[in-house]
Amino acid sequence: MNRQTIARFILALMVVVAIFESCNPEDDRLLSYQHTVQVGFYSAYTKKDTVLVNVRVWGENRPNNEYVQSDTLLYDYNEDKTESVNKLFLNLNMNADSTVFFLKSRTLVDRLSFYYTKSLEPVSGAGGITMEMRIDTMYHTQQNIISAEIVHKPIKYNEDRENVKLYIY
Amino acid sequence: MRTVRMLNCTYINRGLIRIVMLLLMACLSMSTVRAQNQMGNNFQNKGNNNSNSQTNRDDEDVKPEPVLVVIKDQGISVGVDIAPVITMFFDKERKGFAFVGRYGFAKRWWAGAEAGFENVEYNKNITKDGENKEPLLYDREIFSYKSNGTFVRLGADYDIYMSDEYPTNNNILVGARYGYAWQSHQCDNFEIADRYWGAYRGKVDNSPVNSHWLEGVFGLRCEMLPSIYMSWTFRAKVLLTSAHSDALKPYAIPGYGKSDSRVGMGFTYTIEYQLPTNRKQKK
Repeated sequence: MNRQTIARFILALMVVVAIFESCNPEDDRLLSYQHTVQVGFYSAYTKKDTVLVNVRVWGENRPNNEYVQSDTLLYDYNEDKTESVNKLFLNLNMNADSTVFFLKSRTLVDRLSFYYTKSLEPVSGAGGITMEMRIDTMYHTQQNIISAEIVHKPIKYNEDRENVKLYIY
Repeated sequence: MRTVRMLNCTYINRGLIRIVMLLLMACLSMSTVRAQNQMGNNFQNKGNNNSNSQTNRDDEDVKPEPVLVVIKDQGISVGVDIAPVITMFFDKERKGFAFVGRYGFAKRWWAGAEAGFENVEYNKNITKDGENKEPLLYDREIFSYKSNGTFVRLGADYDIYMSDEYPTNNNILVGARYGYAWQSHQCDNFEIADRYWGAYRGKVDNSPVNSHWLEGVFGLRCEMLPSIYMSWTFRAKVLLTSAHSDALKPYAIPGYGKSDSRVGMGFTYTIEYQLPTNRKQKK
């Protein structure tokens, strides 16, 4: 076997190693999306995406201790800011199997309940361990919201997909 | 959102890189074997030329013609797969080793068996800024994960290169494998930060994981020295089932790789020794 053949063999091997490495996704996960339900607002009449104004969102039975942020509101698009929103990211409580949020727009308040299952997934030595969730069901009141639809049940880290569509007036 | 778009772009680029590299690999494979082929061809031509000139010089002085003699290896070969060692450079948490065996049971057919182990262990107890100090309220990462497992892969390869005209012991192999792995894993402690609801802490006890998968194999095998072979194979894998506790998914499946996808890719790089049994001389 001549040198050229050996060199080609080794070069081919290096290509295979490079392919193998290129096929392994890196661990630069976007952790802000983990255990967060992506909720989008849609018009109940046109079925097209729409916005909700003067929104305030907070969770029920949120612990009041030093381990959480002091502000109890998860979102605050109040009247002073005159902001509208067409998408919300709602953090599910990992310490429970259900989470309740209150969604206030102007004077009307809706109650959103999510029921889910959880599983741990090791990401890597650098990325650590993350939580994957799956929405089993959800309930809501009908003040601003007419109906709701779960369009994507899994909640995974680094996945930018809408989970729930809320149809509003 | 911007970060997500950037990541998507990265995956698209990787897809293109994969396609280009696959083409390059196929070209290099054929090129390597063709070079071997050419060597045999040249050697045979040289033998024929010498033979003709001798006949012209002196018809009475007849010497035996030099011919290309290849000892065809059709018996058992055993070796080691050092791909897990290479993998450790890219994924430091995974440590493994594998043994391979091969038996040529027909002219172009090889039965293949591979067995090995893989252990995974990583621990972290640091704050987000990377300093080992007393954990702050949310900016910390705490986790400890361990997995020990063993795997076997069984299957067959078909040699698409074997040539009767220019016999060599080099092979271009196309084949399939069935893989099975059993492992146990646990998470001694973990904490996932959440600024709104508070951190989630806990542990998951030792639990078993059993996985089955199929592999498509493509590779090159060359006789570098008499009875010593080096080979690499590129593998496309499909995970059939992975039975594990709902509480904890395995980080990696021994012999399969990362368990976050039902379709995976991998490679082996083996060094084999052909046992001196059932060897045939072929002209």
